Amino acid sequence: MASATVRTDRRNALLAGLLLALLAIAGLFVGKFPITLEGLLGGDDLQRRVFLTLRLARVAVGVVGGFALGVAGFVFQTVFRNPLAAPDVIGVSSGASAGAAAGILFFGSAGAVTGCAFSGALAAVAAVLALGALDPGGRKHTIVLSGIAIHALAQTALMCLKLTADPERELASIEYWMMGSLSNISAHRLGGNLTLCLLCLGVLFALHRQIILLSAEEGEARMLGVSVGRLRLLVLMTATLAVSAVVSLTGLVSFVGLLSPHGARLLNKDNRPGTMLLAGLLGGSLLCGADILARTLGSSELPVSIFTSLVGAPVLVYLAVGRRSRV
Amino acid sequence: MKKLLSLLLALSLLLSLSVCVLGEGVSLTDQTGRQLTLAETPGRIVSGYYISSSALIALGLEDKLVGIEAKAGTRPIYARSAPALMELPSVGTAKEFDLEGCVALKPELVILPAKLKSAAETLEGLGIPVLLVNPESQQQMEQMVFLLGQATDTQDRAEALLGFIAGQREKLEALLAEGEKPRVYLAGNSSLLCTAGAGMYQSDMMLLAGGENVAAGIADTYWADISYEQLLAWNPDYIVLASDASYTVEEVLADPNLADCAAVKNGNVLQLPGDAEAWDSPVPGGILGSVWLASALHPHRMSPEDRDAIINQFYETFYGFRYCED
Amino acid sequence: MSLLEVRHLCAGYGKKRILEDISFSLDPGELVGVLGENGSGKTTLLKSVCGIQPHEGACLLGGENRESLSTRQIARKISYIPQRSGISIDLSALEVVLMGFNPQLRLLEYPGAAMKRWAGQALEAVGLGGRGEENFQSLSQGQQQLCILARTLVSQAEVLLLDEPESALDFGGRYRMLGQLQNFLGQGRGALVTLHDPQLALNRCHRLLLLSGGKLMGEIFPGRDSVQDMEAALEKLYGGLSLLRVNGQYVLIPNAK
Repeated sequence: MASATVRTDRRNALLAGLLLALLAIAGLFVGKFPITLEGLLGGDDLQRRVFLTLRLARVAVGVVGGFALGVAGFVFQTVFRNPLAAPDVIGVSSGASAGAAAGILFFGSAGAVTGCAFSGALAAVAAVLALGALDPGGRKHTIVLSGIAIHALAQTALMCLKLTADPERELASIEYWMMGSLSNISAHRLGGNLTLCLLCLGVLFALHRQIILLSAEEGEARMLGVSVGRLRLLVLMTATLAVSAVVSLTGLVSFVGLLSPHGARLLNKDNRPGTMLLAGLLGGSLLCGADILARTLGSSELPVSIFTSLVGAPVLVYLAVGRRSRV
Repeated sequence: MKKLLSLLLALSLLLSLSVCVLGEGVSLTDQTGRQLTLAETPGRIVSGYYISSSALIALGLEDKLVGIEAKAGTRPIYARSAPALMELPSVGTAKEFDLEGCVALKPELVILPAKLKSAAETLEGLGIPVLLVNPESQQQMEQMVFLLGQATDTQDRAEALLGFIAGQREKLEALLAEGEKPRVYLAGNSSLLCTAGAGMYQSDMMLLAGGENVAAGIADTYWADISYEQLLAWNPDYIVLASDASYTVEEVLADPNLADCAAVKNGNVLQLPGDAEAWDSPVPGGILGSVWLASALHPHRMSPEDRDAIINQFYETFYGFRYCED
Repeated sequence: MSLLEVRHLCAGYGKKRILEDISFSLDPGELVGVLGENGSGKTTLLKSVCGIQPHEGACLLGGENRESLSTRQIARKISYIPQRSGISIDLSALEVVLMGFNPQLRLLEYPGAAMKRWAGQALEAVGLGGRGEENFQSLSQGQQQLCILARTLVSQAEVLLLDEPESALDFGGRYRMLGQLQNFLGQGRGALVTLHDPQLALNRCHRLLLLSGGKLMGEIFPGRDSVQDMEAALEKLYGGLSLLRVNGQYVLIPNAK
């Protein structure tokens, strides 16, 4: 017999899932190229092609990417026992930015920028975890400190790259990339990233029980049979891979990884498997919704991070003030 | 003829308000509204902006330049017209201006972009006259040429240059007044998905060349980012790449996302030549961008030979080299 | 053979020495209490035995050196209750108890219905019956401690290490809890419990270890040793006091100064 809290969880997840589905469908029919149901079904080839290679791809990244960011945020906040933890903590964002800047400066094509951003993110995280491994005790704060150090290094690299960038061309591109946008996503470039992302999400959900165990104090977790150092490494790397796969495509999308888990926790009031799922669903909804605004409000494409913050922050404040729950 | 007259009249009216010749010296109002006085014709000039540097060459003042903007080595116009300029000391960019380096050159006139207003104030405090220019549009560029002519006592050359530009503009307007205007998309330097809206210089260039800017609906006064969808929805007849684009025509033609675009299907993807100057920016030779584009869009009305003749005439007269397009 | 054997244990933080040359053993069916004032090293002792505190000396679990065992194997032999639970997020009480099954589950395995029933029974046994769905963080400290005790009750470990498990419970609750623990030990398990209250220890433990200044000052066997001997040993730890036996129970009162 399901208790009241379990029923609330299920209801929340259902509602969030519905919201995400609605936003995704809305996203499929909104955009600069006129696409209608009649056109698609009536055999308009051009509409169909644009729909499949551009519109669908863009919404897919909004859904999967936002979901991944929400889940990754949940994982980081739980494993680090810190409500302010975000995937940035161990260098993903700064590594990806430095990589993207290098890609823009030295290569230029969108595919190259994605590849460089991904490599940058992985390099940064590998450096953080390698530094963290130098501490035999595998303590958590060592990882955080390494993260700060690598973040600083990556920022330095980014600043140097920005200095050599031509202000009339490359610098603007770098800044735009760092504001995040789903505007130059097309089906041809998606496959690898989305597959990787979904794989990582699968692993994280399978490991949910272990993630919860990692939230206990270290000695206690160890005495419950958890190999804290190794498990933490596995979980963080998986979450980071997922985030890297997303961020290398979209640029830096701010706040989704920070706001969604909080929202989920406030709605669910605890941390069952349902909450990680809810964090993902909220993240996907936030990114999809923000992207719809980013591509319709202006005559040109606006950066999506403006809207993730604009929409997400007031919602979070409402949830926090209205309910006064603990993280 | 009437048009030319009225144009010259308007110009001189405009400019008479900004110039006052008092005896020996010259008193001017620059393009940010500042006043400056030059006691005598400057013999040592520093130019911190590539557009004013180009204008100074056109005015025949390359021998008086003692300092130039950074990265002069990357601009082909210097190599072809006045190679000695590439050896001049650099005074930095609009982002980081080298104040001390500039002062060390003992300039008698410094020309800077409007962005460097604070540097200008400092230089004035040291007794060095500074002329701030803001060539954001064709009209402002022409005003800059006029001001530079006044400041350096090369009014004749300035008039000749402005006359040439006005003449070409008239010719184009007459040539292309009637007939269809193909839809054109101008892709920016940083990315294919970056374009110029109606308020920008590049848009005017397209209009003068007898084309319609598909991005006219965008009101931004800076380069705007768009999506593939937007480009496909516009479906331009021609795609024109800016001179210094970081990608190539081949890449655009091979882009699978653009397979349905009219311009790509018909192979109408071109790049503005940049082997002298970037004609998509308000340099003195900017009118040649419209000339070149007009010849690409309406080959029956302006043949390649006519186009080359005009371009060669410009660069031989004002920059002393043969452009010799192939 | 002993469930747990500790030989010449020394531990400290940096240069500071907390424990010096501690040796003792724990046999099946024994409830052994550790008494000492604050700072005497009780918590350090338990953490060292667990292996979460670096130390010198050896700990043998059923004859095997703890150093040669994996984290999982150790967790199957020892169940540890810290003084305060380090659970930082919102979880239901039932979820906290279910954590105790982790040493028996594979990495990707989840507790089944039988385990959930068992966890519910453990909660009932400690007096939190029916409260499994409540948020652990919103329970009182005493209730949290009972919840952690329930977690220990579902583990199949033979050695139980409890750090002041009674500290947040009320007067009656303390005695009840230790009584339950005694029953739980049965024939096969042993428990090492650090306690604050010597009177409680005397009445519920089979054996008491007296810790002072990081050294083992003595060992007393309530029910076997004479009152005078025990009083003398306890006075070394607590100063002047009086030990009495009343109605089969021990009463301990510090002397008025």
